[in-house]
Amino acid sequence: MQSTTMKMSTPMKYIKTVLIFCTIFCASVAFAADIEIRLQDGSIWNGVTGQVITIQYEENGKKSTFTGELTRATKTYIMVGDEFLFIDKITSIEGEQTEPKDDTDSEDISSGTEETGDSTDTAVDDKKSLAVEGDLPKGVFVLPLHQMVGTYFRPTEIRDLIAHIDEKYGPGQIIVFEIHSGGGSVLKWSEIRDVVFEARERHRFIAWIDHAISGAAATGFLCDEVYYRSAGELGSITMYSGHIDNVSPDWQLFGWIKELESVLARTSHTPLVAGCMVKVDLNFSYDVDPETGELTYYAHEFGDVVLSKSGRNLTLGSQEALDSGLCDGIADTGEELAAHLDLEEWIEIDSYGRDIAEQWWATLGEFEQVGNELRAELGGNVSGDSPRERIGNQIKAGEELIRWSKKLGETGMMMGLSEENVSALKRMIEDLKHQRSNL
Amino acid sequence: MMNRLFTLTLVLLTASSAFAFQDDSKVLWSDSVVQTESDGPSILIIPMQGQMHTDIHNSVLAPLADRIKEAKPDYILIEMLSRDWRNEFHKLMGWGDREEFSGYDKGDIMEIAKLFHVELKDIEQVIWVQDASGASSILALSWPTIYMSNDGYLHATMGVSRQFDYINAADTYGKIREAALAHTKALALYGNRSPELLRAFADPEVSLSGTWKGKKVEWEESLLGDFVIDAGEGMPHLTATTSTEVGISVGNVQTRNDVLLAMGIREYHLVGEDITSEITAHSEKWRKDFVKAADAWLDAEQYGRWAAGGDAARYMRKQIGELQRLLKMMEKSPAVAMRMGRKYRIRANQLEKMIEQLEEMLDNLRKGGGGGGRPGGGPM
Repeated sequence: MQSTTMKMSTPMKYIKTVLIFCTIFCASVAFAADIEIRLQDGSIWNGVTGQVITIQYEENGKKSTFTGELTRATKTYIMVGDEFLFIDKITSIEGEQTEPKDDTDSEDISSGTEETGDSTDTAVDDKKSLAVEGDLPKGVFVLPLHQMVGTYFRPTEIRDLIAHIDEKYGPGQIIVFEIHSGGGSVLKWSEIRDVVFEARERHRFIAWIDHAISGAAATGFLCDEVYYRSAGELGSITMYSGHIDNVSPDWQLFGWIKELESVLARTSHTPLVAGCMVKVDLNFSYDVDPETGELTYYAHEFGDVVLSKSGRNLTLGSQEALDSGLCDGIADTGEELAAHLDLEEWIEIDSYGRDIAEQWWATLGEFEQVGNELRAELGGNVSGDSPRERIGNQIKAGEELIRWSKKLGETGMMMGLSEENVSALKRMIEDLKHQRSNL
Repeated sequence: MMNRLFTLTLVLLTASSAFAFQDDSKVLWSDSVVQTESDGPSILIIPMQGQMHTDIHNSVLAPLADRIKEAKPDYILIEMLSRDWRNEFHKLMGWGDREEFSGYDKGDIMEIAKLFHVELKDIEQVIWVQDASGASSILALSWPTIYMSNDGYLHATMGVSRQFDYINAADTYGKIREAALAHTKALALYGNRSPELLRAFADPEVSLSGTWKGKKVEWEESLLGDFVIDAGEGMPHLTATTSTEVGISVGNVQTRNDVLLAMGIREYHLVGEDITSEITAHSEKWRKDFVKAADAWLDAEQYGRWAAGGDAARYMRKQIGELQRLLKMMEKSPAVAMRMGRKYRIRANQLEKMIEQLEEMLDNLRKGGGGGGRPGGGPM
């Protein structure tokens, strides 16, 4: 064997040299993207991405100077660091053509003369990670998805975060769903599926599983990759409505399984696992090829490793998910997750996702405190010195509920404030006013 | 051996670097289709989006015929997205707003079909079905050239059979069945399709199979063809891919540019954009009007409840006013009238009667008599 290796070494070295040469050549071509910018006065500036330049900029009569790395250039605008500058408003560009910096350096970017704030060295709200076209992202966006699917855990925040990312950072970003939920509305899950699948065409979605049961587990299935915390759990996706004994009929459960399978088919994980998470009499096991490590899955309980047998609906733990190829890794910290994601470090590019989640939880939490009370007051559970005052208080409660319906938006429907109900509320208020006027 | 390895390596590297330098704009194959100011064929877009017989209605389309001709489009591209269920899973779960389901109005379908296939027949037409079910599928099949979105369907309808499936007497059952289904023959004629194909989409009792003759399919009302689409118990619900495989659709597409490229068009310009906008605006308008109409109905109901004692005449007048306002809106917009009928089970002739009765009652009150009995079936 050794002689064979020796014989192969010369051509291999040759190929290796060629490969290195070509790679360096290609890389240099890729970096040396020449840019030609024609300014309003007709002058032409030539340069390359990565170089540091100084821009004189005039907008609405206001003159500004920006110095920083040229990260992107199109026919209509350029990006200097985190500044988005329209070419037709640039009055001059100065900058020596320098050697482009590597990726790490490209995070050190500009400061306009108007800016005085210090940049922080960590994660939050740091636009320095703005992706340059062709570069891999250097950080992530995190959206905590907690509590009930449909009320606290909504498509709305996912949609908002994606819109924010599309607008400010462009395609190719990493979005991490931090999942901790016992499930909820399958209808809302279906909306989440549509939102995620539409955006998966331009972003990479990561599920980071802490506690993902039912609809929350199904949300994990929507992502490109799934990572568990060591105590993470995912599964038990059987549908029921209202009372726990009111399980959906089989024809619906099998339709649900088909839906989950079709979702899993768009990931690297086997669709075969869906059935045993939904129906108690569907099973799941697998074999591991001792030589290749290749996994073979079965919808029965006779494989070497049995994950689900009759009488149980599968909820995966982290290690069994990893061993069975049903997750992509285990990570308890951002740093550990970053390593799995091939990131150098854990950077949250901004805190938008966390902020909107917190805001919504606070809003809904507040409504949960006052909603029932307001309903009772509208229904007549009010105090007052006179019938007029009591009716007035009922009206106030109704008007407050209408204000809440606006705050709750699409979630109003799930909190008893659908459009129809709000319309009925308004008429009830009119009736009360009429009643008061007759006193 | 060495040289071959070297050459192979270089070829692979060149190929890989070539791919690496492709920019995003080359990802979509139809991006080579360019919209211009005036070059290339002129295209008129006719949106058929939303609910049949409200969003899509002949009363909106027919008045546009002359302007469509004046716009002189080389092609009319109809873009249809008109479905009951968002997708198969929603259908399984029973999620969907029944008020938004299309229903089946043969008269409306035929008026739309005649507009495009008789009055505008000199203009080449293509339909892009993004998704269709029931009435919209039947209408779509009246165009000879159909393209379909990858995830689109052509769902059959039970809307026609409801007109005869309750009849027990064999002769009258046969009579009404054929009378109700006859219009599908005309639609098949317009679409240059087999009447058996169209019938299978509307008649739950027939079977449908097909046999390839070259690239075309000959359809028959039996199970004897090369392939069976409908064994007789169900009805056809065809995916875009199946529709293409059996020659109903020309091909699967994702975007308008895909359709145009498939038609052999590399550059084009739009004409009659005001027509396109007007059709789109109709949906928004009638839906706003419907909200006002529903309010008028509910206000009338509220005033009816308040019309008692000394305030009776005052609130009866208000009630009549609201009902008259509603009647006007229903007369002006068939879409509003249809939705009011569906949601509140109220029709224009009932409203007229109700107003008449209330006016009589008011008259009696003025003359010093009692109000008399309230009109039945109304918002009292």
